[in-house]
Amino acid sequence: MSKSHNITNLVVIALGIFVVYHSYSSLKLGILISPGAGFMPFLCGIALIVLGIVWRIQAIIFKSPARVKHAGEPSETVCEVETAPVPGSWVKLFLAFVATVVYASLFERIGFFLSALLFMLGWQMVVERQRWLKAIIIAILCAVALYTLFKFLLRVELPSNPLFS
Amino acid sequence: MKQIVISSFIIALVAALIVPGVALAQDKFPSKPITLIIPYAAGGSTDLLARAVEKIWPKYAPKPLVLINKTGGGGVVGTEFVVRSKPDGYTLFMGYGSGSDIVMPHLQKMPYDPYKDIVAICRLSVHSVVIVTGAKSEFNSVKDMVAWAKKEGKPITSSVSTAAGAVDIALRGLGKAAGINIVTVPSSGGADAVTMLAGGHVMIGGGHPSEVMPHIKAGRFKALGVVLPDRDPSLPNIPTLREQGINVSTWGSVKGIGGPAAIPKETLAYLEATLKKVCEDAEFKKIMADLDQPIMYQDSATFTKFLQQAYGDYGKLIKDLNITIQ
Amino acid sequence: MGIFDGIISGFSIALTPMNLVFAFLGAVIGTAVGVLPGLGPAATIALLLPITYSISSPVTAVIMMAGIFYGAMYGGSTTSILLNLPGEAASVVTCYDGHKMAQKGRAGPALGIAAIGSFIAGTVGVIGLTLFGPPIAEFALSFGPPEKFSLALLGLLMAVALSGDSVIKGLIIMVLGLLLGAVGIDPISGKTRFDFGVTELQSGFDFVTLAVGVFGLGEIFYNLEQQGSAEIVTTKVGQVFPKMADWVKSRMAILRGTLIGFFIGVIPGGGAVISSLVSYAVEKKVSKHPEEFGQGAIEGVAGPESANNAASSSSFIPLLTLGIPSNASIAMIYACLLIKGVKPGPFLIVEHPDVFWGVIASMYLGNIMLIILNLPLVGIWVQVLRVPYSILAPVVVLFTSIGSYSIANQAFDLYALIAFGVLGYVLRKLKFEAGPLPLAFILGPMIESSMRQSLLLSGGKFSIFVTRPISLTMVVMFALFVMVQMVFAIRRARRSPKIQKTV
Repeated sequence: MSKSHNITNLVVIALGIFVVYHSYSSLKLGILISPGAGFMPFLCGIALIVLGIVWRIQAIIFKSPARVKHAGEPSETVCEVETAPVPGSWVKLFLAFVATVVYASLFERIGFFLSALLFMLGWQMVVERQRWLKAIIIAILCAVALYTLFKFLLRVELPSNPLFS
Repeated sequence: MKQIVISSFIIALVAALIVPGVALAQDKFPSKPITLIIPYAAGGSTDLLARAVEKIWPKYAPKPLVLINKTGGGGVVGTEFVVRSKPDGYTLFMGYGSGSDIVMPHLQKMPYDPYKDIVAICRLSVHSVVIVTGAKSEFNSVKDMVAWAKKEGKPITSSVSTAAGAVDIALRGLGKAAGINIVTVPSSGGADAVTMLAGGHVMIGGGHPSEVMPHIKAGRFKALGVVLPDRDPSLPNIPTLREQGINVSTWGSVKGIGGPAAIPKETLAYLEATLKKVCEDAEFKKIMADLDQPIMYQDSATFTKFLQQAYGDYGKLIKDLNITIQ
Repeated sequence: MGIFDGIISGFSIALTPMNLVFAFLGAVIGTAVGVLPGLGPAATIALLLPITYSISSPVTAVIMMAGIFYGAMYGGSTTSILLNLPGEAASVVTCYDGHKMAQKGRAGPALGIAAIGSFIAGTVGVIGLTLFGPPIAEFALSFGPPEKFSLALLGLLMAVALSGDSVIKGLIIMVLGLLLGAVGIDPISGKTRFDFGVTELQSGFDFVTLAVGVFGLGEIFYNLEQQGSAEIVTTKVGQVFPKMADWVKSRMAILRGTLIGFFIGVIPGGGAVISSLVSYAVEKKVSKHPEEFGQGAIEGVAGPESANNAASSSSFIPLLTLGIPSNASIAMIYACLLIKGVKPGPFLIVEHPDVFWGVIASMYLGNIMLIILNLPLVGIWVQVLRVPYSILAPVVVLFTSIGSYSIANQAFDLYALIAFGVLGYVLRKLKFEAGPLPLAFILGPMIESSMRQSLLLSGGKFSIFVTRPISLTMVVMFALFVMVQMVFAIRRARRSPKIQKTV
């Protein structure tokens, strides 16, 4: 098993154990005529533990050979060569993630329009490395378009700048 | 150079957005639509009452009501949402006085205090609990049902709207008072409970008049009894449990409008007065009659006292009959 | 009034200018609502209900609301196919093959066949409603808690069919979905579960936030990471309309989907989701090329889309014949009728034949309007994919954020959306198929409630699930399905001993 799959597997089993414990102690299991709130989560927890173990066993029994696919072979025999997750550009992803979180935190504080504007601006400039002029134009156009669409055409309740009303 | 241009642009933008805002004056209440949360499913008796109010409200107020259903937890989810919202009078809920307010606190811990955290605006109606069964059932009255249960020694299954709600407690109270075993099967709401009975999956059902009357009139259900101290004005032909020899009665589910406790007094007075006008409106009376819901207006102070009494009565009922949550 | 007379009078009512206008309005609004993730038809109908009060005729009001409801079913597939964003539960299944088709430049045929399938299914559904309404309604009523349990369980099993190659991974995702569905207040006992003191978690997660986060945002995050610094090659836009070959492949899928959707859709609560799931699984099973499913098989779009439209037609049956609403949107229509003094129920057809037949006739017309509206729109929607990803991606994020926020007007839902996006990214990275997750999330509570209700009814005896005929049938189907799956799996493993299934 690759390292990340290994960790995932342990996380699954750990989660299963946690759920079983929580269901048993805090949410009651109840009796058969009337299963309590914890009944179903308990079963799920057990399922997670069992599945995690089976997964591990499966990985041990079936080793993964690298397989070369010949041209014209029928795709009916399915074999997924296990690869460790290919590292890509974490930077871009991380920046996008941060931009989204910042947007979420500003959303109610400075209102939709401004936070969307800043978000688009940030995304264009930092994630996509656009030139600043193009980025501003895109940001304004998008923010205005979305604002008009939702606020006026669809009358959705959006937070506005608290300094307004 | 670039920095200066960008910064000044941003400052100008921000200024352009702020300045007009400051110039806006404060408006009179209500200056925008009022959100009325319905903590129960669409189509149920509370929902129908809210929609009746929604229809007539614009006749007496400059801004309309906006209804949003927020179900879950037997009414707790929607109510809690209102409790935690801004107490400016723009977020209220329908159904104050329902099971989650007067019954549930006796049985389990609540995430808010239904009396300290909520202010009563006014009472609109009282929804009694009606016990019904399928038209083809062998029971014709609650007495028949009790006799059958005692003879057969089997439990009676009953559909109810939500767990620990007014209907649930009424049926469990009935069971205890009559000395038989009634198994209540909770569902996702009044309409759902009615469907369960219509399909014949339970022997009897408990519901509010709004929910069951259409089916009684259609000949699908028949009423066995009503769980009030006196007969329900909208159902004068249905005898109470007391009349049939079973000494239990409840207030049913009281339906009022509530809001977060800190609402300003003038706003409260305005809402109270407007809702009174709605209750006296002729068209509203017709709709409520069609819905089989009695109009029972009480203003804020009277309603608050009534709730305290109803809450106390439910507490006594639960203690006397030793009802607990599973 | 006989059926024939009824239909004639119905059309004479539906074809009045006022009713035509409102039908069209409803269809347009419904399509818009379906396209936009976050705004569901039930919420929209609730918002527009006050407008219907000023319309004097109840027929007109219902015509508009019904238009919104099934219009949303047409529109729901659009964002699923283009952006992997399901607008509502019934459109989740369309994402799997629909979006893959779009990625291969076949967005046009996917959208087109979805519209065509929806039209056929919707129309056949209305015909079925006209001819077989009352007996089907009685059938629906006979679905009590044990039957709902077995049906939902069957649906969940079908969801495993979406788990791609590794069944174990698919099952893990499914259990995760069940647990996520358990967060919140338990309806049967009233206790809050897994909230850990966080107030916003007490009402549980919202389906749209979860599905859109895991599928839509997850894909955006994944694409960003994969492409590195180079801009993603904007998806090529191939043909705009389905080819003849596509139509030939799909027509049986559409037929089967229609039948499945019609019957399962009548059952109150969850009809459309389960029917789309069952349709997908059935199509995969009967297909001569099952490996294509998940890679862009057009039957995987045609079947489920037809199923959910047939379901939306048949879900009117309990309302019009018995006065019982099957889902939230129909419950609003029910409330509107009551307020207007019309009592839906078995006597509706006698007391208000204009409402009954007028609405039915308008549904035929509505379907026609929708196909006329949607087919040309396909050409426009497809252009959306030509927007550079550097702009499209953040706009999608903003778009979905509004949808999520508008559910409860709290910022928490935005954070939840992002968290689900991260989850979706992680799942993709680790080669888990996210498919079963949203479906288990929806079906889990259904399964649990019905099971507990059934046990209350039976006094704790599990035999209730097999003593009742309908439930028994489904349990048998369930067992057969599992056995067939196992036989196939064993046979496949034996056939190619060297090439093993890996993890």
